[in-house]
Amino acid sequence: MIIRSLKATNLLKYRTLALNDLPAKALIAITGVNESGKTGLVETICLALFGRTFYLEPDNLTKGILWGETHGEVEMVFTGNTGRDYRITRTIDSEGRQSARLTTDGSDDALAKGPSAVLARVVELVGFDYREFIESIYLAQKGTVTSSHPSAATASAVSGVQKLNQVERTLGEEILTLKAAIGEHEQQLDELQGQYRRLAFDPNQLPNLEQEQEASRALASESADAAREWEEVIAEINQHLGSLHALRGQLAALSGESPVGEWRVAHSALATTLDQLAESLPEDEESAEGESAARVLESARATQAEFDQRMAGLDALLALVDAQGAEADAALADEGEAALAVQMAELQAEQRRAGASRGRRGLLFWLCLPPAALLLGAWYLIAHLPQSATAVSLIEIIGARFPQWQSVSHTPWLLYTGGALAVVALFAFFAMLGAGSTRGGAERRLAALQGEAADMQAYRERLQGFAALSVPQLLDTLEARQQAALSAQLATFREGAGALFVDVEALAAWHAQSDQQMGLTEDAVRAELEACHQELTTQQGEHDRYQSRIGELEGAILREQERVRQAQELNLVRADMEANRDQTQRQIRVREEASLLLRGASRQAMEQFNRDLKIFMSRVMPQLTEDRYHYLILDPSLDVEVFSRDKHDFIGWDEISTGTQQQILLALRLALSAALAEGAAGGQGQTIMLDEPFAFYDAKRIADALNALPKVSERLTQIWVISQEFADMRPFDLHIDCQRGQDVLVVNGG
Amino acid sequence: MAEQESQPQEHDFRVRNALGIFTDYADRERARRENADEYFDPALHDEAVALVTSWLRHDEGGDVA
Repeated sequence: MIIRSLKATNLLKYRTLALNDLPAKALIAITGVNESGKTGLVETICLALFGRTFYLEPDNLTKGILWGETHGEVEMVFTGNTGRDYRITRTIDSEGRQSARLTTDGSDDALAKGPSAVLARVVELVGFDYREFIESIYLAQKGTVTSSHPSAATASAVSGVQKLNQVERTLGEEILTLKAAIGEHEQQLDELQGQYRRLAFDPNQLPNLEQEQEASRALASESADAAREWEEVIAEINQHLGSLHALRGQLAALSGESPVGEWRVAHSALATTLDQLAESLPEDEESAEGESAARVLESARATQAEFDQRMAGLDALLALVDAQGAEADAALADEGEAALAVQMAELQAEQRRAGASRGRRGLLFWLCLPPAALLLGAWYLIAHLPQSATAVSLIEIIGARFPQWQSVSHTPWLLYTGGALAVVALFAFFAMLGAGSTRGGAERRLAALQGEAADMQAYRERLQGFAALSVPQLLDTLEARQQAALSAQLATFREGAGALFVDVEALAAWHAQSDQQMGLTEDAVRAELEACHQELTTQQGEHDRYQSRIGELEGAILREQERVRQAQELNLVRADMEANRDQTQRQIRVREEASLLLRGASRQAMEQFNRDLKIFMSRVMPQLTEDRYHYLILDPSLDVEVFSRDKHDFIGWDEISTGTQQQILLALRLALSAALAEGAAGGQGQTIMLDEPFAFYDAKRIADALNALPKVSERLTQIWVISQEFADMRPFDLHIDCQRGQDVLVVNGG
Repeated sequence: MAEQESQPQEHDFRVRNALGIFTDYADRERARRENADEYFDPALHDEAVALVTSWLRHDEGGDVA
């Protein structure tokens, strides 16, 4: 920053202040007695730049207004680190209100408006803030202005360590905060762990409950299936029990008049019903297969066995019937329609032949009979009535036909011929009668044969319909054949197996026995049915019990699922907290690592700065200390050690005299100002203000210092030096003379 | 003055900004520790560097990550 002009009205000591056209590269002297306004000039510059001075805090700026005035104004033009000129205008009124405006010089467009915005922009444009200004730009000997430390903060800022230290401090605070957060994380995790313990969550509980529920469902399903099976068994047994009861009545109703078919149907029904019952009766687990059913049906099976035996006899009888039927079939085969048809065909042939023979014989008869009658008549007429007209006519006719005819010799031939013909006619007649007799015999035999076949057919049909016959009827039918062997077999049947069917007493005994046995069986089946009902009840009870357990488990599972959810939620929260803790720990490690790096960087920056400072100081310090001190170093804590040429060693700050301290301090501040200008001024020149820098200098030292100042740094181009007076003004390019009692100061630099 | 201007930058304070100082040091430190016997966590180092640089940038008007 280079100050190009400064104007103020009613501020500090001056009613009117105007420093115009200040040279950018110059050594400027400000002189004047005490309270003549020398420092007020610097204060006015500071006020223009930062809205405050080292005596006036921002909240009491009204004290800067000239006594008796209501407001003050300052305007300063400076060259910023961009190389351009900027204009700051500030006003203050007696009520403490301020205004500020920053523009590019020559333009009315505000770059910033308002004290805060202007301050921020000014710091950016000049490259230093208020603190750096009073540390490096305005170097006053007065302890009220600077700190006791030789520009420690500036050195820190210039070397770059200050920012690094700031960040390190920030990170240190963050580490503390993060460690506190870790403690909170741990506490929260402990609380969470306590909640988890109180939850008493067992990860195996839900699988166990679900497994038990699944097993209960399977058992409930099994019991339901079993109950359904028992219901089916009961229904079947009930159905077959009904059949058994009906069969019992059916057996009781059987009598000697009952058709064979009914006996056989009853017999078959008994077997079927008992088999079905045996099939439907449940197996006893402790018995062999079918054993329990056999025990239940034992009585009925006895009836069945007796019945089987009786029916076996009946079957034997029916075998006889079948044999008889076969015989009838055979007979029918011999004399049946086919044979009859053959015989009829033969008979018809015989009839045709007899007819033909009879026709031929009839024809012969009729051929022979008329001639014989004629010949015999003629013979009679001629022989016995030759005179008759008829005889005469006849003789004439014959004579006419047969001229050789001679009545006497030829007339017997009429008799002979007529007689022969008559014999032939008679023979033909009897032959014709014989043929008729043959035909009639055939017809009679055929009729007889047809009758016999019809009888056999009727017998066969009766045998075939034996099912509709009672046993006695069947026996009668068979006995009607009047076959001795058959009759013997029938007699055996009547006395043996067939007694049931023909003997009333035997039938009654069988009825009583079978009815009793069937009754016992019904009772046994009912007992079994009751057992089935009990099993059904048991299975239904089991099913209900399992269903109830399933319901209980359902509730337990829901509760456990809620616990699982809570446990999962706690786990998630814990995982989240642990992640946060881990992340926080990571953040701490990162910040510790960052702090380590920052300390290392600060250390190295300071070493670098020291090296650079040493170079600068080695040139400047000898000029300002009569070549007695050559350079100094700043340790990491920014304490100063100075190399003494006389002692050939570094000595501490407190070991040197006050005058030398001031010389070294001036050199150090110049060095820091140059460094600040290097970094902040952006390659532009820098203003530096030295307020009473030579208070402890003798005249030679002052002269040497003034000669050395312009050569200290090419960056420090505008050097303001304030003193009550200078013995020699020749080194200065501009002189600003302040007079006590004058409130108007106007200087044109040109 | 002419003599001074012809001289090299003898009072080169190298007033680099803090960011430059730090990144230079961090890079050198990374290269050193990568080839040293001590344990080195590159990710931790990079994260720390990123954090500091973000703070420094924040100080210069940038954002803190």
